[in-house]
Amino acid sequence: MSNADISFTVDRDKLAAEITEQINAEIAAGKLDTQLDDFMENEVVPAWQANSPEDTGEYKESVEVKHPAKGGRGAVGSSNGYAHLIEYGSEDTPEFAPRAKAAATFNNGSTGDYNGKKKK
Amino acid sequence: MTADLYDRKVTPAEVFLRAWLIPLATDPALVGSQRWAAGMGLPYRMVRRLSGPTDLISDFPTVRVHTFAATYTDAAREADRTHRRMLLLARDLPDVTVASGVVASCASCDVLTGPREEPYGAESVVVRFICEYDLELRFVSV
Repeated sequence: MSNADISFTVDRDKLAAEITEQINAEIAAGKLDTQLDDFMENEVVPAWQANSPEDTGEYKESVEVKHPAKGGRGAVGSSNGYAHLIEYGSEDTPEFAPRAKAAATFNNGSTGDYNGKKKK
Repeated sequence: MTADLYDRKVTPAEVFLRAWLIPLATDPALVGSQRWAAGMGLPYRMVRRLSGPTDLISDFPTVRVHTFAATYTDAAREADRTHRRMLLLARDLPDVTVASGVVASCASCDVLTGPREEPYGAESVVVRFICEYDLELRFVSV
């Protein structure tokens, strides 16, 4: 390259902003909702159930996708009437914490889990 | 019989947090990791490690702190003190001397859930608030 040349480089910040904008537009348009539904159904629900007490199996079976993905947001939960007692424990129920354990597995609400690796 | 072990260890999260919360209590027995039962005294704080990964450098526990008191007003006030103590930990990341005399510290403390009431049992005469945090505790040489 001679002194008369002008060199150019990619503007990383501008490019990152443009990509982020594209991703946000796709999420808002629901283009990733199918993937999120699949993730919740096939990864989060089984992880939650794996941390659930068996007993009658009623609680474990109640864990489901409660809010299908819409605009990149969805929710998994239990509609069982005593779910809060299983989660937090009571004077005669151990603190099983299946919700918190599942949440920790998936970095507290992100589709990116860390499976024993550092989060930060 | 001896076996080779990793030459670094981390203070268990429950031990670390109990030591940090004990100054809130009038008696060290009022901070523990056992479920509250009649006769244990109030207000009582229970610390539980729920989950979290670990590697060769750090432990990343998710912890839940339960605050029990006799009335809603007392429980809300004591839970607020619990949470503010945890916020102080998050801001200053101070050294904490645990019961064994070991000095431990955490590298980070993130709030997952601020204080809120959760029922403890129909027959119970206590009100409970809970809050949750993510910690990073570093391994140290032994």
